Amino acid sequence: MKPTTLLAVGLIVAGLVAAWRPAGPRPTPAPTPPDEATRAIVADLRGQLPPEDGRRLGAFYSALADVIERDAGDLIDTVARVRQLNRRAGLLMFQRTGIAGKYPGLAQQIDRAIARGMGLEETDEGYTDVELDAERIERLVRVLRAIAWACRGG
Amino acid sequence: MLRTDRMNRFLRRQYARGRRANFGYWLPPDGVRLESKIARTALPHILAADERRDTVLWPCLFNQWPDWTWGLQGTGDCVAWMVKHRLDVLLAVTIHSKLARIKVPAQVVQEAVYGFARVEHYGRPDYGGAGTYGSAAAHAIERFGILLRQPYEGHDLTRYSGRRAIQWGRTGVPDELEPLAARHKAVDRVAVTDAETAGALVQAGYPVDYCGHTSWGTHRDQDGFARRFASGAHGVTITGVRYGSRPGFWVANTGHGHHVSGPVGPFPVPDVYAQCGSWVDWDRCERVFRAGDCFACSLVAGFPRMAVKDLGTQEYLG
Repeated sequence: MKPTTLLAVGLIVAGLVAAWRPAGPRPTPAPTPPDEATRAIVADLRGQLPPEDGRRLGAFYSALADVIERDAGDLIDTVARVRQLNRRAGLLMFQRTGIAGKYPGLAQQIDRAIARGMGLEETDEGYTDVELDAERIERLVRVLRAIAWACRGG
Repeated sequence: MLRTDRMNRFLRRQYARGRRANFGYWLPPDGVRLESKIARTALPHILAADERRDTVLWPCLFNQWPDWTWGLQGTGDCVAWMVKHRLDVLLAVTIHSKLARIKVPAQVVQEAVYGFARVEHYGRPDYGGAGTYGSAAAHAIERFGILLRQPYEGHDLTRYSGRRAIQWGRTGVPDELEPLAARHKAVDRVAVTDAETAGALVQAGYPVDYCGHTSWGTHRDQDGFARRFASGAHGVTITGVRYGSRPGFWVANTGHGHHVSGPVGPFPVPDVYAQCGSWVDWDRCERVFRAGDCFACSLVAGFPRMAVKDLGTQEYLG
């Protein structure tokens, strides 16, 4: 074999090796950091969770934000329906995964963060159930993404 | 045959003969009820609550008016007492939920409800007896509004007067008070025709009428449910709901003074409130709702659900 042919084969092999990547799960892209005000709302959540659970919860809230953003108030049009969606989707996502009860107080922190982010009034009975206009939906989506960001460590 | 049906047939016969029973409740004339939306179909967002939970509304009432007490009817104006209590509780819940637009929160004047229902709405005070019916009162507070327990120019309405109720039940509410009543109108009247919807309404913060041929407790058992009953054509108010193994409604009969005794059951009830109410079994209430003269209304357009207890995260994160 001529040296030039050998060189050409070597270059092709090197190119193939360089182009090859082992198959595996692609990491979920990190969420965009929230603005200062929203970051303050979720500050308590940052650094609380170990990486594995942080990723799972982060992926959940990120997906929840996407769903609500796409719905744009067609189905999820009141605070009560947000509660319904959050409760049911969360139960389906996390039941029998061992996460329930693992982080005392985390659920209340997340609820409070969502309520603050949406600007809900808190009463002794809970949160005022209001209809979601476009602005409130946008605030909800923003705070859910911020929670996803904080769950992953911020 | 259900007692309610028997009573309705009796009252229809009275109508057919041009007579009215001489007590506080009349059967609505045919057709009147059809003018109202049916809560079951008109309020899907109220029924859509994803869980049914025990709810009592009187804590808001006593939070708003710690000295609240029952009264004594001065005539057959039970339906007006029923609507007054429904509105008082609704006002207290609405204020508690920070949705109220009434700037001077005071209790409702039942004599005005009575006068508006009989004269201004129904237009025929010469029927030969006391009383009115649920539909007339429900329409009246929407058409003509409510007066509050406070002094008005020329009319001190700070206390209930049976004599005033009788007078206004004959002649109507004085003309000079009508514009003042019109400032505060109930909205979104709905007929409540089944117990499930009534329960969902109470859970959402809306008390409901219990009006027609009804039974109400005079003595409660260990569980707080009525064990002995009085019954007849009457209007009282539902302000609590409970589910579980023995579902039922709290029936507040606020115009008959202290007439109920016995344990109150699992939920704390102020003594004065326990003296005029009891839990009544679900099926017994269902029959009254089905008869079709029970109503609910809102003070804020659209029947907003007053509150959600949390946002649901605890259900999966513990």
